[in-house]
Amino acid sequence: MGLSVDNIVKKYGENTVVDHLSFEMNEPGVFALLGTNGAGKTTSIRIILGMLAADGGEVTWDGKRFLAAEKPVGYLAEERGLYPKYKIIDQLVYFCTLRGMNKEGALKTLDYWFERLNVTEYKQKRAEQLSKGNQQKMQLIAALAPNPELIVLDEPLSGLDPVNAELFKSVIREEIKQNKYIIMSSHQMATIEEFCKDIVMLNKGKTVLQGNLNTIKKGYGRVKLTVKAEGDITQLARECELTVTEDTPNGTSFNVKSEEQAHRLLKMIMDNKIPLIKYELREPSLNEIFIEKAGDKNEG
Amino acid sequence: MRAKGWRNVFSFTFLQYIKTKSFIVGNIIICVIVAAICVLTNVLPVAMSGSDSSDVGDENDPGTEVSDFFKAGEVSLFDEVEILAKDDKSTLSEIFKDRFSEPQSSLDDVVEELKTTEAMKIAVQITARTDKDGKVTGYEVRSYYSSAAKGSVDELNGVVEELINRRILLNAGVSPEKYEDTQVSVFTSKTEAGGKNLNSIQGMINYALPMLVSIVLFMFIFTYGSVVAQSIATEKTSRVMELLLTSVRPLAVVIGKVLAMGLVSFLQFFLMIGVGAASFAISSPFGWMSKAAELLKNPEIQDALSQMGQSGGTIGAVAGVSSSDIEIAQTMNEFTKVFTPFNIATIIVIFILGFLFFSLIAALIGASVSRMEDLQAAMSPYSLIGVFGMYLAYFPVIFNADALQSGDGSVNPVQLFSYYCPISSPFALPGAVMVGTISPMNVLISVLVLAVFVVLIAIVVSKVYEAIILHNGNRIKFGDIIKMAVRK
Repeated sequence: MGLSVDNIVKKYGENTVVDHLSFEMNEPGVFALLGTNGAGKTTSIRIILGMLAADGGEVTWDGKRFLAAEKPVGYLAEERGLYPKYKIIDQLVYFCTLRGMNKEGALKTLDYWFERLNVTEYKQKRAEQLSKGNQQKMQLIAALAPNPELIVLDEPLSGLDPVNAELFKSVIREEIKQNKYIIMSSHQMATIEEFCKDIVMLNKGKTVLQGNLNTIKKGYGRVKLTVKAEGDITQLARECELTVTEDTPNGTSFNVKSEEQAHRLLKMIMDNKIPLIKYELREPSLNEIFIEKAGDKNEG
Repeated sequence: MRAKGWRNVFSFTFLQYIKTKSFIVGNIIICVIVAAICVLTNVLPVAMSGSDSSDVGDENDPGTEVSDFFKAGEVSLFDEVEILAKDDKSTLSEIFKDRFSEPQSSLDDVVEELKTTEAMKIAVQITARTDKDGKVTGYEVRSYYSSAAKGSVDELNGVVEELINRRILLNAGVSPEKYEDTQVSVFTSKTEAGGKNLNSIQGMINYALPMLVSIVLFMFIFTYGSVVAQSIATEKTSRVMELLLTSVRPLAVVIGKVLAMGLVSFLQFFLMIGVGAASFAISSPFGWMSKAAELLKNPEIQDALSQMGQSGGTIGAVAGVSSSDIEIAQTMNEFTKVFTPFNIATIIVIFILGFLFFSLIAALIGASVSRMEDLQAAMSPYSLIGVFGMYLAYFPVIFNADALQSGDGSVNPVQLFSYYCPISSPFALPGAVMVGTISPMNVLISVLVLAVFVVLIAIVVSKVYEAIILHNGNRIKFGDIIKMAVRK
């Protein structure tokens, strides 16, 4: 059963910021909510979490109306928020008790998380005394400590150094192993590809792409060709009716209409005895799909 | 269900607020000030009356006293109408010794000298005022002083005035022995038939207490309402609110915060009263309160007080006790009657309702801003309502001083309006209840009016709060909030 988002709509005046968004999470895993800035991701998350009332549609959990305030949800917001003047331990215990934990249980769980994220030494400090990265760790702890079944991570890795980004990723992997339902919103497509099975891509509130990530990629087929050779292949590419999309020291990239078109170019390179260094025919990356679906429509 | 979790918000807000340095330091300072005021109010009158009695001169002294400062000065007398006799001038000579003179030079010359001298010198000119027939209708004492003698000139004028009054009576045939008998004061007062017969201290309390109470309540209710707005705006602008709203509904946040700050303000209010009472108790052996308590043990005073009846009244002379002491005992006796269970309950209820009224408005305003810089501008309507309400409670008391001091129990129309208007009643009602210028039935009506408005604001809050708390961007104006509530 899990989480079901059914046709939710949100309007501000004449502007529709979420336009009939629907998706389902029937089993644990990571679900990606993608879109450019202003696409309606954060509004959608707020509606799913019950912070904002939708103008239409509904969100259910196991078939019943879902209200985050009534079911513990872990939420790491894009714009981080902690009380700057209060001690970390005090505010984290507060957030845990708001989600139904008792104080003793909260303290015990928090000790585990402080150690897991290497921030035990900061627990008695005020939030304003912490670096941005450590504040982010505290927020992740606030989201995960109550052991919620549903976790919403809005740009979880933004602003982190590679070491801490890896630490966050390892924590996310652990949560996946514990069969959590995770909604992740990020502009880092590599991260999404690393974790997510299903995606929804929004553009100006409308769903422009939706489904299983592997299926979507397979649907596109192997249409991305990259070739690196020791001689000039541009003339050969023209003869195969291929247009260059990118030319870098790592090779020349083309969009191909079919695999046969790519094979034809390979045959011509071989026939002309041009030494070949790299020949890669692959499905488009999520980043390329994202730019194709959202990029040209968001030039403003 | 919409307010589930408010207890967590309440306890966290309360505990975090009372742990802040500014709150602790602020309270210590307030307690010290309150204690100092209470100790001084208790002890000073007794100390001053003690020093007054020690300064009384001997029987031959016509009441003339001079300060230490003035004892070093020089006095020149120009009695142009020769009202003062030789004896009077001798009195001045006794006080000022060789520093008193009747110079032969002109007044103008002496005044000219006073302009430049650094010594403390005063030249006193006595002239007469007459009618068209040349009959004396009064005397005028004009003193010219050097800058160094500025602080003592009124005192010297008083001495000369008293000497002239004494001489007039002696010239009219009053014997020196009988002169002291003429030196008694006449006090006047007025009481409307059926009104309370108040002594002068009670009259003063009746007038000053409502004003003092309105200012103190304004400080607590208004200030802590602002703290609610600031706290909510901080949570919203620091994005903590988003985290909170994954656990509780917005209404629970408002209720928790408002009640927490209400408790803080309530406790601080009673802390002040407690510190004040303790200060009075500690300084009691040296102050007028212990004196009043002692007097109230006097069986004769107890009898007299018990015979005064409901309308109050001034008790007559009691052997061995001065009238002013009886007034103190009477005031103490009447003041203790103010703290009836009904009055205390009423004041607490008004305090709570008043706090809810203002803090709910403040909560809405705090939720309407997206940046802390906007909060001050957004709070303008709140400040306007609060300050106007306080003035509405405060100024009618000043304009009704006569009735309040005379105890006739009447209130002017503006004062009456301030008891029923919800923006002023939290500041006006408690004082009115304490001095008895409002009947229990009217108290009930006033409390009901305030309660209805609190409920109305609570309805507005519950309707629009969820919509505005996550609004980011331009500040939502107060008028827009009201429109939003009406539409819903």
